[in-house]
Amino acid sequence: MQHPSVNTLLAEIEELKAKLSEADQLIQAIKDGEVDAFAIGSEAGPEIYTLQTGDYAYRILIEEIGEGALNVTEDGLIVYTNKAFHGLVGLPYEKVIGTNVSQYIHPDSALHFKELFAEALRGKSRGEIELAVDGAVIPVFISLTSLQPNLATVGIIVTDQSEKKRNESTILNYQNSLEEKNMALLRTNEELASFAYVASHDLQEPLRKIQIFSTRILEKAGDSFAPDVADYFRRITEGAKKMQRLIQALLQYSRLTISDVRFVPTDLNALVQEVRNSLAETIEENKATVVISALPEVAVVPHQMSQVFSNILLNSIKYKRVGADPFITISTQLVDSGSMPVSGPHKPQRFWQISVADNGIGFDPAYSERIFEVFQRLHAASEYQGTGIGLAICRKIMQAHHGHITAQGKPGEGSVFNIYLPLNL
Amino acid sequence: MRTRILLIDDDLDDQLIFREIVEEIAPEIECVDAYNGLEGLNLLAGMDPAPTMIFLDLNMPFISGWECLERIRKDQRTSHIPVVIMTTSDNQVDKKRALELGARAFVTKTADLASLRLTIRKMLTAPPIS
Repeated sequence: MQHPSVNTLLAEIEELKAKLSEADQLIQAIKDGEVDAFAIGSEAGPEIYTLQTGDYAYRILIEEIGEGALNVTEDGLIVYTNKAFHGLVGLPYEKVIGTNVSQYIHPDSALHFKELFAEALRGKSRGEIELAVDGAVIPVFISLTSLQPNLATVGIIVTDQSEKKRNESTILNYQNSLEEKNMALLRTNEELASFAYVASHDLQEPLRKIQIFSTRILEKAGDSFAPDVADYFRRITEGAKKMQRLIQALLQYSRLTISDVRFVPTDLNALVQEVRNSLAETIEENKATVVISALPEVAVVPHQMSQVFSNILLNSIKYKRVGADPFITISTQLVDSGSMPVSGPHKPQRFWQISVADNGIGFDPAYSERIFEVFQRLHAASEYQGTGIGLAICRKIMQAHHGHITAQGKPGEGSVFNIYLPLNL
Repeated sequence: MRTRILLIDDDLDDQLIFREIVEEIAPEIECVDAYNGLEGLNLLAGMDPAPTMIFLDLNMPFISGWECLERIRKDQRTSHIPVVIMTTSDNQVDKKRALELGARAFVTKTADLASLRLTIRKMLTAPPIS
């Protein structure tokens, strides 16, 4: 074995001395706080060690964070406060340090805070309390953590809830006012409905008198009327009759809102069959054919739904084309709400689409909305009799069923009325 | 003495028509009119002999037809007299209530004179209920 030479050993000693001195200087520098970080070379590359930088960064973060941060002794003395907390209580740093945290707690929260603090001494706790600062009450959320065993203190993070509470109360106010407006709207609707009912009911009375006394005049003196007087008289009684029909239709329309309705799972096949039977005379008179393919079972208000089908069928028969016996088909399919020709927002849902198609005179598509409005008519009263309320009733009923009704048509090519009933109510 | 019936109705037009029809189909019957419930009950208390039938409107000032009906049914002196309700109401709830309170019939006032005539004739010629 070869011994190293004295020179080599001396050189190694010098090198070790230099490294030792370097290490001494480094330790001194660390002690003096002159070093933020140092790197130690290793096989995997340099490893960075930081001392003050870490602390410094945390301190800056805690100082600048929007939430209050406190370090409090077990007796409640504040030994550290960040900007946010002394800003929250409106005092400079020096005035807060050394004070007891309990002096910032609202009396109503004192007990709760005491419990939270006691709990935190055994680990952690959190809760909502109120601070009292200069007579103002600040709602805060506090999170307490014992810093044992390293420090005999409790760290407290204080989150100002004022804005959140303000927002909550604003939202609550909006909600309340929205509810109030809803109620007012509901009341107005009910009032309107009962107004329409009462008005049309009361309108009937004077009309009844006109009709009764007209009849009485005819009975007593009709024989002595000159032809032109008889004609005027006939026009009066016809006008009265027409007004009676209108008022009764209006009554029927307004009753839709005030009558109570019960949804019953209903076999629409049976329901439409019944409607067809009740219209048998009219169907026969007009040589109409009504073909019904399989219909679903749906929860509906039966008498209302009967009225919808009755009104549509009568409509199809009334507006038949000259030279073509009415041919009406009723068919069903399931559709997605997206594919429905219905305006306005509605949530995606599946609907039964029941189509009533006829070969009648049809109508200009420009009027496909207007025909559902009260007293809207597309034809002169002399051409086609009617009150202009039948389809309005249909639409109102379909709205009450969370459904829709639409109409498609082309002049001379017939009409299709589509009824949409939600698959799941 | 003529058979008498009592008509309690605040509508003077309806009173007129009613009287004319009664006179037309049963001239032997005397029709006594009252134009509100209070007057009707007062008249009824003083009628001797009592009317054989009472025609009663429902919607009237002072004392309504409802109250009249109840009082007539409760009073032993009048509880046997058949009461026919003649009203503008066609409400089934009203009809049910009136019949439950002991009305003999519930007639909705109509614009159709022929049917009114028929109804009055039917009422006047109906056999008294035991």
